[in-house]
Amino acid sequence: MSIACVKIPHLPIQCELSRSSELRSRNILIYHGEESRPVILDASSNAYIRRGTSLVRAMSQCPEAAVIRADEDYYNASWNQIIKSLLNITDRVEDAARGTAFLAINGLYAAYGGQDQTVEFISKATTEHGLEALIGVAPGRFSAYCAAIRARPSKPIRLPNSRSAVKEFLAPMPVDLLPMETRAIELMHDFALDTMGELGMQSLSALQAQLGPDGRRAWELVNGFDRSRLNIIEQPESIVDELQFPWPAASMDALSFGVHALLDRAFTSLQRVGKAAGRMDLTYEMSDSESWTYRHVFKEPTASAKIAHSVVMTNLEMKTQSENSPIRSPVETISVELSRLGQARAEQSGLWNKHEGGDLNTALRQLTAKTESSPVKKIVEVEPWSRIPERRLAFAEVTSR
Amino acid sequence: MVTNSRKTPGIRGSYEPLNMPVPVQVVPGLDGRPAKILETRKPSRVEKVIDLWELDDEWWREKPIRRRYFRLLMDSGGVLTVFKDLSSDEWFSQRY
Repeated sequence: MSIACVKIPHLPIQCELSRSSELRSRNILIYHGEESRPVILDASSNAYIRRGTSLVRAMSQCPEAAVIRADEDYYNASWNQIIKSLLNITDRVEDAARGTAFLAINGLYAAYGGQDQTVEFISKATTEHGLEALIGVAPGRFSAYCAAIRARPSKPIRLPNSRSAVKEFLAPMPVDLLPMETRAIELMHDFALDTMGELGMQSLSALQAQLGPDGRRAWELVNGFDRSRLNIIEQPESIVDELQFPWPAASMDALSFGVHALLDRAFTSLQRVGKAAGRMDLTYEMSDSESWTYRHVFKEPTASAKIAHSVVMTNLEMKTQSENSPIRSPVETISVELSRLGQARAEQSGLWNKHEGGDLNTALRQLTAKTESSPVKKIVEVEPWSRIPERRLAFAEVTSR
Repeated sequence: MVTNSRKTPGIRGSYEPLNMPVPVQVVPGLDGRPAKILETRKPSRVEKVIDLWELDDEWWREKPIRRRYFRLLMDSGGVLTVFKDLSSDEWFSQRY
């Protein structure tokens, strides 16, 4: 696993500098908090003032500094722009905090021409927004973070994919960087374990005895064992599909048939990407140019067209029977958007489930993948009672389950 | 992530109607009823009009459905159903 950490040091300061270049020659103090007791959010490195210091104290230490009230919206927007650019490089991005992001970059080297080029792209994603980033690449999340904070702008640090190299790199760094409770860090200092190297030399059992699970985790991290996974940003995805009726559907049978055909196709697309839908928006466009959208949020994400169809038809029957039916004229088009895509809840199959049509489903799935739409059709009754002969029967796509 | 959309505007949905009307050439008699059906192989004469009915539907649409159907006994002994589209004056055959 190769993880890149992107750290924007002093993001608020960098944001202020990017919009007012006249501040470049001065120290800056950015404050936030209540009017009665404002505290420092960020300060220029040369001011040597820590975050959380009261503004009064900071101003007394650095009287010549430009004092600016924090513009949180602007800082957040700038950071979001960077995240957006990083997502253009890979969809495996963790937005850890404002100013810190992690990217899983293994697998990208072939696309970007190697590790150096990939890191170059990541660097450009931040500099194009006028902000300088520190970049560290390492086999684990924690080591990548430590590499980033040791890096210099436009000089990323890359650690080899070796546990001993990571251990050696981390050894001189302070234990304060470990993602532990303050109490645990203080305890480490009490035992004169100030650097990660000193911590790594202790026995695992001794650390566990003193610090519990935190001790084990700290020992693992400083020795290059990092099993933490990235908390990947869930991006909005959706499956959109549409069905135009060959003629305006004025009966419940025709509508049901159309909804069934549409959902069958949309859910087949959904299953192909291995997802389940959390929300379904079904829009009916009518011949009088009116439209009505029915939204259903599933209790559990589903990948079943059958469940969706039954939900839609129950709602449709209820609505059309009411006095204020939203469908007042024949429906010409129905479209569906399946969103909030996630993983379907696993369902245990019964011991005696029948597996009829397995071979046919496999063949259909393969044919559909090749031709984009199912080439196999079946004859179905649409409006068998219709006076118009071409409305009675239709060819419908047979889709795989 | 790329939005996975199979939306293909302008393309008909996932089903096609069956038994669509097929245009035919009809020679009407003096009374306006079909007298002869001109097919590619050989013209066939209408022996008798067995049945006649009209279909008037979808009056709210731009092109309403207005058809006059004829169930015909042909000189060959076969039965054929044709209709005249009263909006366009064109003839079609269709199984009813």
